[in-house]
Amino acid sequence: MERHPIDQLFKDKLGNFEKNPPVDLMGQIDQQVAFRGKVRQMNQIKAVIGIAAALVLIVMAGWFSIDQNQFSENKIPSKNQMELSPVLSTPLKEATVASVPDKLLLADQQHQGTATATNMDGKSKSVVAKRNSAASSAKVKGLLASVSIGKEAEKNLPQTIAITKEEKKADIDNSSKQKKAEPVYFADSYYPNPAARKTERGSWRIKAEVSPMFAPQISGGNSSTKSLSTVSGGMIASYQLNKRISISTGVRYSQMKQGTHSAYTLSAKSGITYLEPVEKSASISRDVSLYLPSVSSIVYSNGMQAVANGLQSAATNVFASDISQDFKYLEIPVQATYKLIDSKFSVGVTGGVSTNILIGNIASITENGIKLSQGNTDNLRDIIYSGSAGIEFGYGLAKNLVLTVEPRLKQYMHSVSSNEMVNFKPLQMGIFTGLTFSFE
Amino acid sequence: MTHLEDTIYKCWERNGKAQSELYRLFSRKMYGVCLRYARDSADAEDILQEGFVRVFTKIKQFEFKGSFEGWMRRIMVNTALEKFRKHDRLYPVEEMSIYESTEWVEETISSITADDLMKMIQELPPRYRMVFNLYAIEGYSHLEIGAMMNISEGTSKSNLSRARAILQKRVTDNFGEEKRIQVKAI
Repeated sequence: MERHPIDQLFKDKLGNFEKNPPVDLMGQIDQQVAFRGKVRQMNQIKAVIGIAAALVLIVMAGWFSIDQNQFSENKIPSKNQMELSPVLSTPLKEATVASVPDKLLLADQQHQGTATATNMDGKSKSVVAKRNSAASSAKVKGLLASVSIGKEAEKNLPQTIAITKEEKKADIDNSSKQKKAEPVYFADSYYPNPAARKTERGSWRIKAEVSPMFAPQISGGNSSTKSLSTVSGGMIASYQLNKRISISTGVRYSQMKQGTHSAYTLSAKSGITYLEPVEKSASISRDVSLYLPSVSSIVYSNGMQAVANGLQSAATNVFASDISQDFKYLEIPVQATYKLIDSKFSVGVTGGVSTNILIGNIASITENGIKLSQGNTDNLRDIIYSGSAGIEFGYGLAKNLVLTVEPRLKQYMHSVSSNEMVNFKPLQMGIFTGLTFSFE
Repeated sequence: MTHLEDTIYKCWERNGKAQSELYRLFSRKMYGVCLRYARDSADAEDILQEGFVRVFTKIKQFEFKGSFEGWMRRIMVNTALEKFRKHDRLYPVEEMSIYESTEWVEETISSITADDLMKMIQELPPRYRMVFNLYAIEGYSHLEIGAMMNISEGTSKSNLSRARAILQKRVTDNFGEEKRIQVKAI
């Protein structure tokens, strides 16, 4: 084919044209490269900080819960304790026993040779205190002497330590009066925090949740497909069937995004409009092509197979590039939650199935960071089903408000593509953070 | 391992000396490419700078398939295209009539310098300049150019035709002597 003279003239004169760039340009390039490296590092640091913050949040929630449980155990005597040791049922007596110096308790343990630190309950503490007050033990005497507490000092010991028989009797009387005056609290029914035990049967709750979504990397042929992190979130309404079980449904936005590095792109001559996703052999675990109607391009994740497939003649240019595929779904889940722990800090297992409706399908070809063209992936199913399972950790922020963190796995039940040769059932993992509001 | 391969591998490790060496080896050629796609030298420097930053940050993507110079050249061209998409997409296109094709006498051609032609090409409307460069010098098809620039194949052909006409007129105006011969357009 004869070249146009203008084309020929410019190609001859400018095809291999060279000129020295400004001398200081390399310095500016160095600065730019260093700057972008720092930006990338900052982004990585931000990601790490984000993950660390989420972990700290989870740990704090757990710590607060444990702390709360300890508080309840210390302050609220059990029913058995109250029955066995009515003297100790009053907070005053607990305080007085707690004020006994540890050294005295230890000394008495050594003297008696029977008591152990682990089973040193309130009753034994009171006995210890009584014995100390009588100063019957030589070891205790020695210890008292060592801390400069002689007979005189012994008299000055707080009265709470030197419990006499009369005092004990008075305590029993007072305790009996208090028992009559106050309701008896049982450990199983006492909840100092209003956020606890609010999940009564028949209550409705609404939850807003959001999570980053991750998926494992897939490799096939000479290229590798990396699932990129996405975001999922939505509104879920749930109904409490009984104390432990609730069912929920709602609407959630979810996304799958993946990039294939070093794919081969064939720019086709006219006449070829599309090619479906194919999975040809065991040596290529997955080989997805794209249909790009806007540019009539064919994209393979393994270009050599495409060439072998006889399409080389149809291609005018073959070049390595990156492919990005982005699928968006509207998810309608139906799931159940079973609560294992139901208090201020709650733990439950969740599981269910979801209907995923395809609402977005974008594919693009990028070369060296520059987007060349955009289209969509061919043969995606409009509706696919998925199953999910997770562990929900909840922390009561207020009477009607619970903060939840839920690591959750989501497995698509069948291939996202309707092409029989493609079997791609993605697995995604997310850590859903949400706020639940209860209508009571 | 050749000197170039060694330099490339060192650039993988962000070796400053290797990057300087790579710049020394290719900056003249790449600046020449950038000048053709730019409206002036400042614009070309911007493209060259951004292009080399991409070369250094994405050098691991070069898999030693084909020539490194070709790979760099594509990066420069793509960088210029991206700059065009961002800034020059809505640049007004000059309305003009189609000039008949001509062929110049040898003396005329030899008297035209590369700098003269570079100036002419830089003065083209951005889209014409892009299409002309991609087709006439890089050798892309109209289908490929359409895909790269997000325009139709027909638009690409039309832009090329207009670019040729403008350049032809400027060559004729500036270098006078010509031998008018009708040439079949491709």
